[in-house]
Amino acid sequence: MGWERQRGRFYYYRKVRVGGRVRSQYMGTGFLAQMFAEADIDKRRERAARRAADRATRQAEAQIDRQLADAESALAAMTHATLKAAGFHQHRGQWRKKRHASK
Amino acid sequence: MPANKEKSLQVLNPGKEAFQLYQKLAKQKNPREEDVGRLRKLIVSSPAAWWLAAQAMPSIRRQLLEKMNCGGASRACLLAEMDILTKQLGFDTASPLERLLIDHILTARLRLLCAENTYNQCVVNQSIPLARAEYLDSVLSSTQTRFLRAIEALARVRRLARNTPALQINIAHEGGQQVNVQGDVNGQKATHTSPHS
Repeated sequence: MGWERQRGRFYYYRKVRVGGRVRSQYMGTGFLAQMFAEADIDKRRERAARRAADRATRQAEAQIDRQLADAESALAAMTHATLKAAGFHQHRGQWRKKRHASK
Repeated sequence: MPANKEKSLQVLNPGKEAFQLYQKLAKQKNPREEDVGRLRKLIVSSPAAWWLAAQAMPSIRRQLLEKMNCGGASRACLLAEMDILTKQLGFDTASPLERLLIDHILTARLRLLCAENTYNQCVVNQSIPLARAEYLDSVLSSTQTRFLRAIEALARVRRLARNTPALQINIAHEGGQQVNVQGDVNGQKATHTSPHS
């Protein structure tokens, strides 16, 4: 990943995306590089946790929306059935009363 | 066998059967008379069909309130808004179908408030990825559309019910003249029209 070994020594490079391309940014070696590496790991963990939380929220929302859509379609079916039973019919999407419907 | 058992359970659930039968009949141009008769019987005889939609709404609202995770004061305000909306839409004097539609409006309104809350929390004062912003935007749009659709459904049913003689309210005194009532018969916005006015 970020650590690169050259001539027996370890150097830390941060990978950043610039204009759609990945660039290596030299961060240093030794204790300072170790600190940068740990900070990057923490950032990655934080981002992953946020992504997981977002995913969970989306799933919960999708489940609620699915239930709402099911209830909505059942309600629409009942409304249509009730209107048909009351003598209405749909003409090009518009509800109309039948002219000679029995009262 | 599990498949047969499942099939038999489906047939035993009148609400589901009514819904499936309706979906089937809605697609057919010349439906069979037996099917129409069966659906008619199911709608008239089974309160389960009504129960299916009526029970789902409070459960969804409870889930939404839990998801919003708001404090006691915000929760009280939200519930108060629901109560005000219920009263404004004339729930107490509405017909059973209208009550279901009002219940749906309340749920759609709460979903919209929930989506707005999430949108504000995420978008205001912080930068978020484009994909997340697009998702939040689409959720907000779809919940707004659903809320409008729910209101339109109630308005349509009320408009059609107004012209149905069975649902007309006779308010004339004996020997007096029938006055037609337009608009919200339960609220104060009702406008009284008569041929002589």
